[in-house]
Amino acid sequence: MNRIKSNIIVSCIFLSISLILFFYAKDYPGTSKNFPITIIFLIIILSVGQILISIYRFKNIQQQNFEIKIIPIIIFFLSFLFIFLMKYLNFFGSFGLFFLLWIYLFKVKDKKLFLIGSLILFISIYFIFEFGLKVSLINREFLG
Amino acid sequence: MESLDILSNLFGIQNVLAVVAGVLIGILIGMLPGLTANLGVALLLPVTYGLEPTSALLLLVSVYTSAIYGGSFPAILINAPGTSASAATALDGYVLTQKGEFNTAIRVSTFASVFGGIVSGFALLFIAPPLSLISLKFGPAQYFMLAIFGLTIIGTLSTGNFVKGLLAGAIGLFLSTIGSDLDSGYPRFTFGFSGLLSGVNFVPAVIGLFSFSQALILSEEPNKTIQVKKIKTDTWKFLPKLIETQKVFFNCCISSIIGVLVGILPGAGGDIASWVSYNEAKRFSKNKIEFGRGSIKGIAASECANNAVTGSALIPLLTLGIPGSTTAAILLGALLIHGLLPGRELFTTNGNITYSVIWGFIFANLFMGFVGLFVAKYFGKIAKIPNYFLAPAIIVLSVVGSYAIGNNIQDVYTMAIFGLVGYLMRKLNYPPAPLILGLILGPIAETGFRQSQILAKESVIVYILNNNISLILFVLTVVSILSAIYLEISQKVNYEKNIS
Repeated sequence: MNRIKSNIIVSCIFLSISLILFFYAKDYPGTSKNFPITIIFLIIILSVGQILISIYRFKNIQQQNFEIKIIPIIIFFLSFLFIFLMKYLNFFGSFGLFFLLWIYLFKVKDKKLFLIGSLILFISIYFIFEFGLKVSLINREFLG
Repeated sequence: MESLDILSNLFGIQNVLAVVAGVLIGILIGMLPGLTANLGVALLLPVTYGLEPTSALLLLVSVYTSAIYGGSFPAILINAPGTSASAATALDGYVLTQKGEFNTAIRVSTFASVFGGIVSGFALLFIAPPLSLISLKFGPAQYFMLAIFGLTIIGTLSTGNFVKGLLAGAIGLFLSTIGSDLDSGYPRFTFGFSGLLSGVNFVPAVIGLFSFSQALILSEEPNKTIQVKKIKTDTWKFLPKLIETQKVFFNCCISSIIGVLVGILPGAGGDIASWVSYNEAKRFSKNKIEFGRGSIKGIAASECANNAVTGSALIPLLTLGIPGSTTAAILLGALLIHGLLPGRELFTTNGNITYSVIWGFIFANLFMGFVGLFVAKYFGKIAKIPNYFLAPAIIVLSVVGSYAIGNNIQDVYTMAIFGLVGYLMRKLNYPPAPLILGLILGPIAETGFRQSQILAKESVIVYILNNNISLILFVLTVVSILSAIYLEISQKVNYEKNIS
């Protein structure tokens, strides 16, 4: 996508959200609304400023393109899914599966080394968090 | 404060282990191109929950200074600075590597980094305590102006994207208003989620913005590995030669002063210090032509200055609560987590902790030098760790770290969401550091403003500006904004000149 287009689209999104939040915040009681409303106004002014700058001043940026790759977005949603699964499989079960899926997704060549590295990582996490920091990653409360 | 108390506190087994672990992790993080000191400190922040405040802070400051030093290895050996602060080092360091003199470059870089780090540690030790006396004169009005001044750092943190930086900062400020109102308890922007009543937790946000988002960026090129020339280590000489240290000693003195001064300035980090110092070393050199062609003075200037920043960036942080760099902003969060408020109390009531941390910081810089020289031999193997292993490892550490904060799965979701936000911000050229600054300074600004409103008999603005400290802070704020605008415009003009 063209950078100038993305700047305008993002600023418009900020502007729209700020306007919604402004109408939401204006009914807050007493002085509790003053600071948020001031900040919302600031966001509105800066969003408009960013739109104007994108259009009029930095025309040379028009030539720059950028792309958001799909892989990081997939990784984000997968992480979200495995965070959710922690409730049922506990941390090690869930992220063990995540690592196995990772091998498949990225066609990891040196699978043996990857698995040994993962095992060392998980064992270190277990000992540091279970015994060092007293944070249980496998107990029943965690299983929900 | 009794020196013996500080020494016995510092050399307790947990504190020594914290420094050792911090130095090793910091060097490793700095060595890996793509990983930064911010990522290291953010990832380790939750680990410090279970530690004593002294050990926790020692671990984090050791990671900070060692990661900056570690960044010099890839700069020298593969011309890929591990951190932005080491970019100037690559100019001469890589030339020396090409000549087969990488061992000399590493030795000089290590000597200079340790020199700069120790000088900045002593600057912190001698400048911070008297400066903290100013904080005793602070009331609501001064704290409000201080927070506003702190927010103008955004301008310097986002040079080249000034408006985007301000927008990110404003969004951080807005996020800080989420949760129960400080006075009335009225829920603001919670949209019915009880989990938002306590506000946006700072630590998962930091981990998400700096660590998880970096893992997403690394996953874009999963099979990327760095090609490192085989380094002959059989003739490796560890200790710096006398002739080398004599040659760069004067440079190190000047560069460490530059580094300390730049570090004290809010927002100006190691990258600015190393370039300024490199340029000054070149300007005062009798043999200017050697710079860029493998000058050890160039390496020393850059490396000494960027490590001299690490300690002095903590001066405004510990005394007034203004972070001197992005990493210092994360360290501010660490202070607050452990119940330590910046200001005079840090040097009186909590003096044992603070002075132990400062001396520990100096000790960490010394230890960093020894470790660095020995680890350098294995750089080739460390740098070859592929992204397809680094990325899931960072994701797992981010998940487990954010969970450890309060044994709360909601923090993990918060971290992941901020991770995606951080990724999109980087792709869209929105700097993530101002968002964190806004999140930290928002409550200070709001509390100061609302208390001033109550105390003001007439206009709140008159009340806020009706004292010397607030007036000075106001002038500094204006200067900070104007200088950021000037930098922005001059950068654009230079860019357009280059294009034409």
